[in-house]
Amino acid sequence: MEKSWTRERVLQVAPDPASAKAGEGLANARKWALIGCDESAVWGECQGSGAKPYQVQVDLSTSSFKCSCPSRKFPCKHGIGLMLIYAAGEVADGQQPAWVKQWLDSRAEREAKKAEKAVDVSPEKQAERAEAQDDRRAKRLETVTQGMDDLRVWLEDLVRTGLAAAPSRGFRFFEERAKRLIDVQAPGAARLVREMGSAASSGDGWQTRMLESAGLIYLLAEATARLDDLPDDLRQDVLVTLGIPTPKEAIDAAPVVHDIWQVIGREMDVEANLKTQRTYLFGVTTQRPALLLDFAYGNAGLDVAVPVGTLFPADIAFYPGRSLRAVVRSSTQDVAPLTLMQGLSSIPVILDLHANLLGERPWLDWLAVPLTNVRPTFDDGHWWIVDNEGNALPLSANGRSNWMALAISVGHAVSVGVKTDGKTARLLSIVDDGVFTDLVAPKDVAA
Amino acid sequence: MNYLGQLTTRALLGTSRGAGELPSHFGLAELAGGVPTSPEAEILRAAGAYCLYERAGRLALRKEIAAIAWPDDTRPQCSKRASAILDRVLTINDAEMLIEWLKACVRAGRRPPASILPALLDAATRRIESRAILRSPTATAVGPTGLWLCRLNPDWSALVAEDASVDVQQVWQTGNKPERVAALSRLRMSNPAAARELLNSTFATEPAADRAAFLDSLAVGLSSSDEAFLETALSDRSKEVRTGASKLLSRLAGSAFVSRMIARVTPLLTFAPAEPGKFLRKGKPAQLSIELPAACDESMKRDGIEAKPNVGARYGERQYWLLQMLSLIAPMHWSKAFAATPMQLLVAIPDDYTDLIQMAWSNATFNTCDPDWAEAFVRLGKHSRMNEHLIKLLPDGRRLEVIYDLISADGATSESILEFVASGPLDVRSTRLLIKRIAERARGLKANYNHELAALLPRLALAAPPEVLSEFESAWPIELFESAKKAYEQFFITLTLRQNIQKEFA
Repeated sequence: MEKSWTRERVLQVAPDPASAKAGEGLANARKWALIGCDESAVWGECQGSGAKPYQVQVDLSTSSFKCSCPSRKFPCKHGIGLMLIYAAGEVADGQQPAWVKQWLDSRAEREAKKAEKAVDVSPEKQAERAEAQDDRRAKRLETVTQGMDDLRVWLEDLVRTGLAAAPSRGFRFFEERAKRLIDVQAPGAARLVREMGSAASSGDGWQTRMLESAGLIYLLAEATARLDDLPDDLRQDVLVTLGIPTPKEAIDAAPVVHDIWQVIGREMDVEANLKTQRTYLFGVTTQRPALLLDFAYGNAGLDVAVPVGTLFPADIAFYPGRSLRAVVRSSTQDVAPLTLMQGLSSIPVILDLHANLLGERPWLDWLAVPLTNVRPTFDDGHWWIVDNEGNALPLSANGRSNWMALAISVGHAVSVGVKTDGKTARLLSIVDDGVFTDLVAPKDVAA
Repeated sequence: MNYLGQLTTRALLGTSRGAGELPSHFGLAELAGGVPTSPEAEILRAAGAYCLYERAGRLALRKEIAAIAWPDDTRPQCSKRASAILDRVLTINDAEMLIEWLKACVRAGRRPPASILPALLDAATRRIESRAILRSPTATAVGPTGLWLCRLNPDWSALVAEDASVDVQQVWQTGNKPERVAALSRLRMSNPAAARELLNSTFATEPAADRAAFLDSLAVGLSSSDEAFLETALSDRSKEVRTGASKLLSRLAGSAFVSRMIARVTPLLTFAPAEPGKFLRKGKPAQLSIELPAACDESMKRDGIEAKPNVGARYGERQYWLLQMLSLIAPMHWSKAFAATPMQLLVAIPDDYTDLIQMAWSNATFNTCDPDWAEAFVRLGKHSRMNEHLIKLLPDGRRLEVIYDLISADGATSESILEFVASGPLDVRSTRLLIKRIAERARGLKANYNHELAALLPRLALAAPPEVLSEFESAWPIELFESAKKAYEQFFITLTLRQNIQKEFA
């Protein structure tokens, strides 16, 4: 198995820049008394301030960290430091010490117990649980519906008095409305309202952008009011767009799609205390896009079990309602590096796919796909990707990623992982000459 | 106005100011489908639907790719490990370490991976203070692809001038100041006369600050054919330019300028060699006698001598004139004229003039890059601000010889040790000696050594040959350095990294 831990990946797991930096400080084999790895784990002993060195270990099959230090951050700097050394290829193979073996065994045991327990629950108990859950869900839906109705009236008021006044009401005006939507547990709608607010300060042509944004939200509000009349898939999409979590049973019941998934990119946003990680997959055989969403609060680390730039054989389950969102059900560890993208071959094909998806999911914003045989181009201050037939998609100017793509491709055709809303695109990754490069800037470690 | 434009106008005004019929457009206005409706609702609904139609109906744009000469770099890419090291070096953000990596890469005939070029070019152009020293090694390492990128991105334009393939004439006409300076310096290296002519062709029309900067680039390849041009520059309107011209002229042995200066100062200095003792008569040490100039005449002023010292200067007017004149005469002249070694002359300065004459001669040594005089100053060991520059004038072998001598004679102060370490790469022999000295001092001074050590270690980490890393480890038990623990750890990290760079490109 190709070692799937890279420096970038390790830094991505870091709960915050401070931990990443502290981890860098420990990424030096001389600070470790004992260090080793085998196929299933990496381990090391690091002298901390205490008398006894901290014992750090990482289970490679599940990418889970454990450390005996008292830090509340997870993973802690010792884990990050250890994995940075490992990623640099400076950890030698060794024999698992007893404490590592013990930990791995106990983890395996716990997993087994959990599986047993899941089977063990009696049908009555299951039914009882399901009923309670349905109740809660129905109540939540009621609150959301009420909140969306208020939102509908609010939008109508805006148009009645005239949108021209909106920018002068300032950021707070929209922010307060968004907060109310959070209160009624419709975070997805809250996000749309924030976007609408930011249109107010988006420069030339803001008027049209704001009206478009308001119109889409209005359609969502009306769809919420008629939820029961909607076809199944659309109803699901409305719920997802509102930000209502899909019940676990529904996900469990979703059919599983097996494929070798190309992991073409990953992005992370931090808002307030919440980190959101989007991992973009695309099936080799199914040619289906999938999105893995992970969240972490505060100091917690994000799940990085699915490494970017790999071919990841897995069973994944898509959320109901023709969603792009999916969860990994089971995977093998036969991860191979992604040296050749198998995706869409021209820009019109992407636009068609995007249009088709919009038909099923009207509120879809971005679509991430691999695109083969294109050339990143910089001309007269503007960025493009151009396919073999001369079709072009404008790229948003995005820090270093476009320059990296240009430096790598220098005029020859490459494959890129690209995220688009049909109008502009952002590069996520590039494969040239069998080498995958992640173009999404890692968190600024120096910060 | 398109349909969305019409909708926007209405929404902006507000329906309370009169609604009017909504224009019909592909049935958008009738979307309500039985739901109770209002003019506001109709506008919002239609806008939402129109937006979706538009999103779903987008067509690809067309774009011709211009046929251009794409850059081609035939050097093989450096190893994965080497590029991982570069990643770390860029994170640490240390210009000297970056230069070490770049030079090692170039020496090994490799190129950095293309994906790292933007980060590298950012690092080489972002921080002004490190830009000058990073520019040339970066330009060489990034190769044709990197330089091609620099021409596209204005943020990196400072590197364009380093490109050997660039048209100097064109940069001279259209480039900005740093680009022009770099282009001129490069032309000067290959064709000094052409560079001077190019400068001369526009010199009169350049702003004063630029004239001075351009003039400085004549330092490379300076010869007597530049004399006429420099003599003219002596009457420049700008003082900065005049000073620059006088400095350059003073390096031209045999120039009229130098003869004038020597003629002015010769009557003021006399040297009496040492007389050995004989029988009952005591020997006499060598003695330099000094007379101060009587006046600062017009011809002196034209040669760049300032009549008035700055307010608060350490010297009186007449001392100041001597200081300036002596600084503009190659010190080698005096060793020849008086048939004495630089050291003999240095120790012959009378006490009340030590400061003045040493300063003048060290200025002159620096200005003419005279290694013999530089060595004398360093061996003299009197700490002056110039020493850290003078030691760098010595060729590597000679510099290391001097450093070794001074450390082994234990004649080095902590300041001079700092200067040695900052003067350039050290060899194994002097490093071993230093390791011993530092350990002794650490044992003796304990915590009091902390401050000195914290200043010394970062420089030593960059100067020491990485192969002695393990010797440091055994020679310096950590408890010696308890109070400078951080600097100590950083020292090993830096040195390890440098060792890795060497290994990777070996």
